[in-house]
Amino acid sequence: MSALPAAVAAPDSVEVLPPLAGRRRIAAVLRKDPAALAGLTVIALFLLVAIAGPWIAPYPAQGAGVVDPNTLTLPPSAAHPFGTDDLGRDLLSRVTIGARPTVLVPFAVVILAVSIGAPLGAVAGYLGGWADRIIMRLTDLFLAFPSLLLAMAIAAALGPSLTHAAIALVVSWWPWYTRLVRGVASSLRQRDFVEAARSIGVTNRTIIRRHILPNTITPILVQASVDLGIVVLAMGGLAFLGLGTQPPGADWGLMISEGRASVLSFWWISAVPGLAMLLLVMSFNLVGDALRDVFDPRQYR
Amino acid sequence: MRKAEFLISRTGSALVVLLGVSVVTFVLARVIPTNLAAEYVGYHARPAQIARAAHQLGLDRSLPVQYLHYMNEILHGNLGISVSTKRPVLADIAQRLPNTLELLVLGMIIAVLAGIVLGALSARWRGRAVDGPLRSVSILGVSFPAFWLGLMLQIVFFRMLDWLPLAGQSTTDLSFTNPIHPVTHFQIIDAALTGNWIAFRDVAAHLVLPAVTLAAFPAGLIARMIRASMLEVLEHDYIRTARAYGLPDRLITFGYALKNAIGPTLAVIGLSFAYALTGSFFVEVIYDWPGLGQYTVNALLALDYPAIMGVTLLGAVSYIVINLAVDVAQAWLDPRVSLA
Repeated sequence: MSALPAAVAAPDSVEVLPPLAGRRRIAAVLRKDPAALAGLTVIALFLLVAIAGPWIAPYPAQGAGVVDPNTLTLPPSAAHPFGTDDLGRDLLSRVTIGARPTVLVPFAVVILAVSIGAPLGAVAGYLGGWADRIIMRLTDLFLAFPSLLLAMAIAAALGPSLTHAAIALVVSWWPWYTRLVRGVASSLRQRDFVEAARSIGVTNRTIIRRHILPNTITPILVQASVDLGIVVLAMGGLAFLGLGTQPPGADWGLMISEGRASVLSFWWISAVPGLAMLLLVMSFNLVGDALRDVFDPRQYR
Repeated sequence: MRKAEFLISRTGSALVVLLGVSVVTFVLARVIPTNLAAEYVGYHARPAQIARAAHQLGLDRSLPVQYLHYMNEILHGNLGISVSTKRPVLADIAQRLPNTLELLVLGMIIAVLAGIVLGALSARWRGRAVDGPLRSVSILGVSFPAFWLGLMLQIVFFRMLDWLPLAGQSTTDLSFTNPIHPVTHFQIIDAALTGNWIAFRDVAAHLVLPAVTLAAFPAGLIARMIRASMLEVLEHDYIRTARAYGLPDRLITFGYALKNAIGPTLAVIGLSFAYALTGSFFVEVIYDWPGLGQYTVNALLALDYPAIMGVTLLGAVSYIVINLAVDVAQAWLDPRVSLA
């Protein structure tokens, strides 16, 4: 009865593990899979760079956008390992400063989308009936738009800025988590420990908070690790089109677009931030694949 | 006759969603902070002229009335007049849609073929030396920022190798030297139909890079899905039986296993068509392709709200139709799919 094909919708029965065992298994998976571990290392490294950006960038002022007419379009060298752009700014510094919007903001977007989507999904799946019908119809409505198109339209309507791009992505991403959590919650409803809690008179609100939501954390983590890569690409796309971070700010998507005009002469201006983005998205995919292997083996292997 | 019932109920709920989509699109367009009437008459107009334009456009009426008016116009095939092109939005869309479809269809053909080959080979040699590189290629495919991949392909295939044109749909003077007579309005098909082989070669060369860029993401997605699905099928008893009979390995992998592995991936193929739809925004901007993606981006950046409403609505409609088609196809192919 939804607008999406059955296989894309959340499965009806997701393997439900005790929350702690789930998290321990995630740690075990990541330890054993070298590709996933490499991905995790890259993500951790990029996170560090994002946090420490202004302190570790060789030319922090240029990273933030200050122009240097003496160093225009220099190819990579010892002084500028990634070269400089057509306004003379050191690309290593730009990439370092640009890590904040490019790496940190997608985390914020996914966390916000989860904190809107998951409780709604838990309520819909656990209560069923009218609440379920209303929430899921609303979800279907948002899922009827291609996510990126909806995000682009919202970002344009709000006016181009990093915050607005992030809001636009949260608005178009939460329904995916509602759908996922609803599937888990409705299968949990029949389980003995939930029945037991209900029979001794625990309120619905407490059951959802104490018994339903904690059990949805593992599937959410698996989904979020894959989504992070997609959100990085979507944020980058919005910035590339001019709907995200505005010049002279640094953002990898924006930097790719800034290098576009002279890409045939000075390839490194676009190539460097794009490579960084490719590496980041690949890392999210490697980690996501490893997690999905364990918790949802029927999906992509 | 449960299939007919299923079809009717799915179509019904799709129609309800469509109605909701029209409300969202309408509300979204009203959030856009522009003075539409002023845009139409130009910025040097007097207040009275702006007010008259607002009245003519129906902007002085209440929102629900405006919505009903808007729906009525849509049902009569009128999507409004674009602020930037000053042409009916529907005419703009009709003019650009074939170009985008040409790109989308070719991109999807490449993606499906490459995805199936990559996925099937990687499943057949699971864990062997080639499996690693094959899987890496499919992970790369889903990790490329499309707008960056496009630029890099331009550097390699235009700047360095000079094998393919940089951008655009055809060489500029082609319309003077070998004009394509419109038959179906799909450039490449028309060139072939009219036997205009010089134009055909030119248009085909211009299609290659955009189509490949567009195909990267769906190809990776399909490859991963096919591999997973094949690994599952290869565990089945009938595959073991076939092996026991000594049938050639190639026949088992590509004849028996692949056939049954494609069914479950139909949903992903449908989904990747929808991804390709949004991917076309970036690809068309990078390659200056005169299609709907470029039109959408320009409309968004110019806050051309009748055009935004038109393309958003079209995007949602095609998304719903694709998903409906996938559901129906799956139910038809696989009797085990529940028709709930």
